[in-house]
Amino acid sequence: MTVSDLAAQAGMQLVSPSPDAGTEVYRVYAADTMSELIAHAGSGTILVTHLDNAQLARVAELMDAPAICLVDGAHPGGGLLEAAHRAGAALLVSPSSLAGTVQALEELLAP
Amino acid sequence: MITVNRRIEGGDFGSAGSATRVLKDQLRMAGVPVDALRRAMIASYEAEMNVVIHARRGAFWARLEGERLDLELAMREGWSTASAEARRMGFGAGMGLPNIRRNSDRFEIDSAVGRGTRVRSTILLPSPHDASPVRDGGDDAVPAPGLRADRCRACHACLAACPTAALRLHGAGPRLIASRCIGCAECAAACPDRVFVIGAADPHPLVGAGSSLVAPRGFLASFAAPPAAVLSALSALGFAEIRFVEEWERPLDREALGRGNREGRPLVAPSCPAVVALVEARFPGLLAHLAPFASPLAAAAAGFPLRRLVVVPACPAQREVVRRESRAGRVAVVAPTDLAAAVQPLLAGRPAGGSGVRGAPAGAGRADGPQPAASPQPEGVLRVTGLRHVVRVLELAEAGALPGVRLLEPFACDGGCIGSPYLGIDAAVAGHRLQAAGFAAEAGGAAAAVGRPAPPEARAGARLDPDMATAIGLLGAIDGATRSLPGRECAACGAPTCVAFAEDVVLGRAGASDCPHRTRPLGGSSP
Repeated sequence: MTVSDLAAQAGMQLVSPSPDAGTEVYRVYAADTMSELIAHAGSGTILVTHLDNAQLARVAELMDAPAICLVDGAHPGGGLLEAAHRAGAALLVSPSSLAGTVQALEELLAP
Repeated sequence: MITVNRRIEGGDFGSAGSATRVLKDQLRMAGVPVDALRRAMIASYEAEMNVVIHARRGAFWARLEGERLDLELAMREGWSTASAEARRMGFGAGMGLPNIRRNSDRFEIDSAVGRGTRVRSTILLPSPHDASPVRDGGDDAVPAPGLRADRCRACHACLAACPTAALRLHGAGPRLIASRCIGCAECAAACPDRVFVIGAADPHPLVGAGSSLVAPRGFLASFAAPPAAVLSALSALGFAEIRFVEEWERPLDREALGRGNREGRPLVAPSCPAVVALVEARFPGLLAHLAPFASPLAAAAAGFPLRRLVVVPACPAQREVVRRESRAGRVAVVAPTDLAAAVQPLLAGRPAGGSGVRGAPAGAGRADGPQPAASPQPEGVLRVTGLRHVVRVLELAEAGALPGVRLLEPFACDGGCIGSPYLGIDAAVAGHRLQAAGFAAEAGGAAAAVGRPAPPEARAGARLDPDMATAIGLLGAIDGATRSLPGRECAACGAPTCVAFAEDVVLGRAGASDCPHRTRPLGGSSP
């Protein structure tokens, strides 16, 4: 499913799209430590987290993860916004909790 | 051989991870397999962050030698626990070193008061003997386009378009790095001056009444006249039978689907020879997943054992397929433009507009984005068209991130062969014309898949040298030269990027003075 379709169907705000709107997402991983996020990120992974800093975009870039989703309606700061744009990663905001966001995404991404 | 050597400042979260980013690019150029690359990224990033979080300063080395990648981190004492800032950012959970250890084949740590801490991680790479053989892509095996350098106005559009950075404009007209070219026609689609031609045609391809003709279906739609009139004109030229290469795609899919996928990755249909060349050059991890069949065009050529065959290739890659088949002298090649020139006079009196093949600007032959397939795909088949999309989907396939996909059917041109810029018509318009005229369905009852005569081999492609050790040495020199460049990415030197220019200087393709913005001598200009 593309990042933009995922955002629309999950009721998320696509704060910063990736340069390519057709980027596909296949799996979701959620964590609040950077070590867990980098260990489980990969091509097609949307990273879900409470963390808001530019290093998130670096992790997405290194691991080819196409999208980052912040939860609880928290809007990203300028550092993450700019870094995500540079890294080519889409940035989304979910109004739900971390657990609720993961559940919604997993249902949408289920084969 | 050191590939990355960086000092890291403690607390500098802004620059953290930049050494790992550089390492990633270099490992990709050296052809490190995707699984090893992923482990290297995790270990390297965690090592960098350890310095930023726990030390006042430190140093990070990465060495790629032979079949091993060594990462080394040295830092003096700083802070034993992470700062509040680091914790707020999600660091300092004590998982960094375990993450490095988990992703290492060998892991050592040495720490002493007054001497500092040294962490060493080694990742073993697959032995070259375990991997597919690598060929160097000599001219004989390369599906490169022909060049009409006299037409070039040095607009640089091709430099940005080439997906494998195979083009340069250092002198008069474009120059092709043959070992990188995959014959995909992206340069032809971007060029406004028709510099890139499909390749040399045979001297008298249309002589010989009674021959069979195999062409891309889009050829019929590239004239203002109806497709049925184009067919009549082709018959009038003496072709006894007219077939379309797309007829051989569906049998190939059927046979490949019967094979199923392996190791969680889909089989890749070799329908598009440019994509096969891309896999050989850039995705060697997928070579084992290429379905063991010849391309549809090769299958078509094999389907006419007794009759002389004339083939119209849609791209340089297809032309190379035909060239291999034509060694027996039975298969002739005619470029779409040449056949159009022969057909056009026979269409006199038909609706005006002429042939798109001859008249349309070469750069206007592409639809923006993938086009729908002519008919629904069987379950489990993912058809993806347009090289930008193909590259991304192959990356996902290599990473095992295409669940539910049993067969991947990628085409370099938008919409498949119908989107070839050499046909000179937009893929969507061509598809519409064919559908309206009832020519969209793949019929081809007699078409059949044909086995691949030889296993695919990895091509040096984006790798600097088939030998990883030599490639690593060159990488070090290129890295040094790149750091001496201003990094404007302006392409004024005739290379698509500053890194590509540094590579050209190191490999002797260009001189340092070709960079108009250079203010200091290039470092590391010899390996």
